[in-house]
Amino acid sequence: MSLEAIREFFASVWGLWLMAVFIGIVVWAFWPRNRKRFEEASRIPLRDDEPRPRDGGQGPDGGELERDADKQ
Amino acid sequence: MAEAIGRRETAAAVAYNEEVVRWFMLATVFWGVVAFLMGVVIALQLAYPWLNPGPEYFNFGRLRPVHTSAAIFAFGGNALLGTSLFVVQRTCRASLFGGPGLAAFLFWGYQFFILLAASGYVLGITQSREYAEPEWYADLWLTIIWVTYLVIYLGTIIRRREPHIYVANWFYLAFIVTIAMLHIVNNLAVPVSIFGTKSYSAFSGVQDALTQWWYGHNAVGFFLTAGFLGIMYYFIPKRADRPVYSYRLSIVHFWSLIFLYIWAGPHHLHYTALPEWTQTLGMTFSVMLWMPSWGGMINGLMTLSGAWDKLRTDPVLRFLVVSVGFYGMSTFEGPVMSIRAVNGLSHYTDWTIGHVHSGALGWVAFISFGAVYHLVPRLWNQRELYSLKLVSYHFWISTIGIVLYITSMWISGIMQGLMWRAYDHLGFLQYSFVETVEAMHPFYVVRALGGVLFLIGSLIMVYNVWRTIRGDVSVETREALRQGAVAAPAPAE
Amino acid sequence: MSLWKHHEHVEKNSILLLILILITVSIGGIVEIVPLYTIESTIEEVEGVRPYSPLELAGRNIYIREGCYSCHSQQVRPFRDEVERYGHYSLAAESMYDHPFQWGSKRTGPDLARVGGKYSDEWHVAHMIEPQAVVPESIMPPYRFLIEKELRHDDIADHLRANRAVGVPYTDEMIENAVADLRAQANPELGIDGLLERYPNAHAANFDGNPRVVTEMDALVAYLQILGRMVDFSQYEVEDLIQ
Repeated sequence: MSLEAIREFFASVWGLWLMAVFIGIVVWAFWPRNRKRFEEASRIPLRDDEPRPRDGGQGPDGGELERDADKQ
Repeated sequence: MAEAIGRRETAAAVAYNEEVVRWFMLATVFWGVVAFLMGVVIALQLAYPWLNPGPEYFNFGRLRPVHTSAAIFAFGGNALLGTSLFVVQRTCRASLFGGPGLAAFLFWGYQFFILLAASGYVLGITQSREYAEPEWYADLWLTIIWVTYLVIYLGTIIRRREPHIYVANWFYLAFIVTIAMLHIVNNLAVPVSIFGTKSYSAFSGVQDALTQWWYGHNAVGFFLTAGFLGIMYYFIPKRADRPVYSYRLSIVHFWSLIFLYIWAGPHHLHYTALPEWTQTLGMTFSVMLWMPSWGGMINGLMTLSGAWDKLRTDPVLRFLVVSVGFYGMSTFEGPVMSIRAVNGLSHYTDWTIGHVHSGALGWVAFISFGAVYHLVPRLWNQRELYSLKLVSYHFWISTIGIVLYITSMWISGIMQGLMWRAYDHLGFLQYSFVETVEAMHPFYVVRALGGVLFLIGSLIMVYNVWRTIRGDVSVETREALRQGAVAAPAPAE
Repeated sequence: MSLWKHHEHVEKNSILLLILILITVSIGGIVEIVPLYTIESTIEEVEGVRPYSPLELAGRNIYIREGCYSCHSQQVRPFRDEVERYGHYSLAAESMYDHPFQWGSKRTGPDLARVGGKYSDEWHVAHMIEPQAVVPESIMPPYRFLIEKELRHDDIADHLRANRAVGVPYTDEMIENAVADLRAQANPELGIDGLLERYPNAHAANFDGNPRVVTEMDALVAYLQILGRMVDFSQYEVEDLIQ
């Protein structure tokens, strides 16, 4: 099988292959069972503990409580 | 550099390495100003050629890569490295793999690469491969640095305490890995002598052209897009204090973007000696790229749904969000320009330059400014920036600068493209080449003016960052904080 | 179900994420770029394309050093206006010995793929010294220093060898005579029979008017004057060149 032939084979199937992979990813991402997990994941940046000087100074951080809550 | 502020106590008791992020942020600001200044200089050289004074070191041809490398690799690169190291620690709840020593090596090693590259250009040491100009010795050094970066980044992800890898890290990781691959393949070369700077590329002619634009376009796709999307997916939710509009869309965005981008390179070579099937392939994928790009844009913008009022009160968020708007604009323009018929007109003209800058100034620089403004108070333990009003000034001055830049380049590009192909009634070419050059002059002046405005904006940022680090708070910012207009993000929902 | 478990695994395993990214981004390069090296029709067969003479190669390196690609393309597209303005559209074969290629992406100045022979040597020298003296509206920077700088060429044979290492068919004879060929091309009185035998069609001249030293100006003009002149297009029909 020449390289040319191999190339032609790929050229004929890559469109189908591309579609299959893409549909697979979309199905996975929007599969109902995965919904909750992804919603949780989307909150990761907001959950990160960020000790900040707040009104009244560098008080204890809310992050601590929140992390504990997460673990349960 | 700031004196040690003392290791922060974090709630999770993770000793985040923020020192190196602070350095990267300062480097971002510094190199940003250098890049914009160099841009203004070479823009003026095109408008007023007597600004090429004669000594070879300061001619346009040598300064132009200084500008592009300073903008992409020095300004953009430091923004990416700095934010990625911040984000990966926070979203993985782990400190940097390799400890402070390896992180410091990464920082200084990267700055050394920038100096190595830029000094080479001025001295005439260049491969003359667009956006891959550094010669073999600098390329080797960057390879070492980049592997270090990958080790730190991946190592940190591996030891994460958060079970899920947040999507921003996917984008950063794709950026790191793909750039490594592109850099190594595209820079394969044989040095003339191990003691000399000159090398000859491994590939030649048409193969070299495709390899180079496979690299060049994916430098845009993975350095200037995927990497900065990592910034978007962390900093917009963070600043707006709400999760990204659709996490599931972000997954589709990621895989479709990295899959499609890698094919798009040949659209830089339409109507050249490159085989036509390759050009068609590149064009097809470029047009398809429009979909994931806009999916990502919608995802970024809609994150603000229900909180649009924050745009009015928080200029930092405005930088972040408007950058996504520019991202949408240039990722619409790009596929249009990749269509062969359009490209026949736009290629070789200033239209390309305008397109690049709508992405570079509007998207890359704006989202970097947003990230810098968000991070600096946090990294230096301040409540907020010195002055939010100055951020607002920076925003508006830069925006006007971008508008001047893009519109002047649109007009000059399309005009020159049309002049090149214009025929008079006798069937002769209507304009000599130099007549088309002459016609560009007013637009080059306007473009330089746009650049000056952008530079002024960045100097305002320097002042603001400096005052913030010093711990100053302006009266209006204090007032805004009191009214809760710019929330120091609430810790818990 | 197992499929979803599998995805779960992918999603949480960073190494696997890394590998999937690598596979995803490799496909495009493999399908698109690799065939260019294997398909014979990529480069059409034409006569006349030869490796650059030592002086032309040195000139090309100056072209690269000064970043001329920033403003000048070397690729004529098959459009009526471009063919009329610049000449026959560019063939892949014409840059087959270009390491690296210099097709460029911007025409702040005109395309140079076929600039060879269009202007006299004197014109080029005057133009390099002060572009505005020749073309008043030009915005090109001056390259006066080229005429003052002696061309370093003691290592020119090494340059030929490096080119041979990346596939340019320089012969032992060419490498052996590299220095002599370089000097002869900038000063034809030294005898150019060997040069022309090894590099047919090479343009030998006392480019900058100073026969005593080989300057960088000599080299650059020698390079510009060969651009686009290797293939004799009067011998080909359009149909012969369709890829």
